[in-house]
Amino acid sequence: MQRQSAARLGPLLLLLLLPLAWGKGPSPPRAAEELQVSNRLAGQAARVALHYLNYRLGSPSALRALGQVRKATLKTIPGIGHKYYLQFTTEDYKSSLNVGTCLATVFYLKRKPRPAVNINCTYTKDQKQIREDDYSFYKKMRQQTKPIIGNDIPDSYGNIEPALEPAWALAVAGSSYLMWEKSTENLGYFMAQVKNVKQWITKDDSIDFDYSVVLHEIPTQEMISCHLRVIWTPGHPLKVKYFCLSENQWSESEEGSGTESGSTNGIFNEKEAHF
Amino acid sequence: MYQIKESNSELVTQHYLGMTYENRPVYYLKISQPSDKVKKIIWMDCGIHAREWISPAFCQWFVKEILQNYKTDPKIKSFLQNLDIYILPVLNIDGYIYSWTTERLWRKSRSPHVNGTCFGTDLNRNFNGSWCSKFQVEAAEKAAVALKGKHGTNFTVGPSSLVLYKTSGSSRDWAHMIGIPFSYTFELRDKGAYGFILPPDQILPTCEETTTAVMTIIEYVNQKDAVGAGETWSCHSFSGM
Repeated sequence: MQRQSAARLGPLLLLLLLPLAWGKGPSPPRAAEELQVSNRLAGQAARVALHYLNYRLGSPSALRALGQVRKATLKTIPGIGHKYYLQFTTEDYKSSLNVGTCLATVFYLKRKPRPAVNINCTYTKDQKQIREDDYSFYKKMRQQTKPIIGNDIPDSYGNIEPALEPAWALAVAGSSYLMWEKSTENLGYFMAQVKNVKQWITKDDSIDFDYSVVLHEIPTQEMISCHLRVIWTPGHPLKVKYFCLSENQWSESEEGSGTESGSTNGIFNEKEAHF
Repeated sequence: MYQIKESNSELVTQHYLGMTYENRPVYYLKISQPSDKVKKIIWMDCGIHAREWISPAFCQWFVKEILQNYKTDPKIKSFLQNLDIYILPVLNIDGYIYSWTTERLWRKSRSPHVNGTCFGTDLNRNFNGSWCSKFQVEAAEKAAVALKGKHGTNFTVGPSSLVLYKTSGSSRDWAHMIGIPFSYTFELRDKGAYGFILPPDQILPTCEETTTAVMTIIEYVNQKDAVGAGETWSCHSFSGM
């Protein structure tokens, strides 16, 4: 897959913010196929949608992982690409407790470098608590006079030092941007480990980190080393730059896209019953 | 392994399989109730991929469970009358040690290639055998149900090519090719949040739920009449197959 520096996706961004219209696709109708929920391509697409969500929400305390796929349909649009329509449950990334359901479309386009995602979710975790947890991490980092540093998170035995846990979570959020960009219909990613984290003390409102992360690539089983620069202010979009060792240039996320995180992405704090 | 054999010598024997590239001996255990009967064989190997630490941990746990409970647990007593269980706790010894001492996320063996500039073969892609997708659905589904009953973990049952990804030359392909009727790969926790580097508090529940699943399949095979030689399976962690 060709790597380009991040395209400006202005008009496409607006499209992505519109609420999902379930079941409606481009006309005339194309070949549509219902997939088994255990189908790996469905799970793969659901994970791509969650990478996008985790990046856009930019909240270390609200990271989500895939629970189970409940429904999956694939539409083949000749000459253009493959579009997945998905319904899946989600789990809290750290605790694995169920935190709600999502509806998403994931469109793998032949001519665009990264999948186009549209996603809407219910969320059963307490939003106020999330904001407080995010802010408490942010405040602690803002108060550092000496930059925090860390290595091997988790360590070989699966332990994560509590003090470094939010920095690890922010790495997951930042890596989500890069994993979304790199994902294809057949190549998927997980963040396996933070090899290194180093904070940059800033003069503005943001907190700023340099990360070395290792991504696990499926199905190749390759481990890919990447450098990430993540700049964050709670309630604002994450700013992410990255450089992976197989590439020869930095890639950047959109900066100051002007969209709010949270409610405009259609995240509802409803109970499960509504689905 | 030696200690286990010594303290359970009425049931356990230790056998030599060969040497690794780095000259370490590979041993497996045979758990067998002495009898005149012709027994079916269960073969289980763990640790074919170095970084999947939960896999050798599970093999060790499983051996412990059998040896601790075979005198008192009627199900274990019953299947040991008809089945011999062979366990290879770490197949890829060199790689496993390398992942402890040097590189946590190493996967392959440590055989040198290209004049020592490149190391390792993926041991689960190197078996002779064509790609196949045969599996015994009923036993696997029973196992998944039993497993879920333990800690609520959902397992997906199906051909690995559909549920995980396509491979060729896996141990399961080879087992099928040589005529072993039941052949399974268990992909243990987790689903990717921590991946190969599983948090310590998940080790015990993983071993417990997997033991339940394995026991279910053993009981199933034990009850089936003369299906054939037995079954094999291979345990991996998290999308590691």
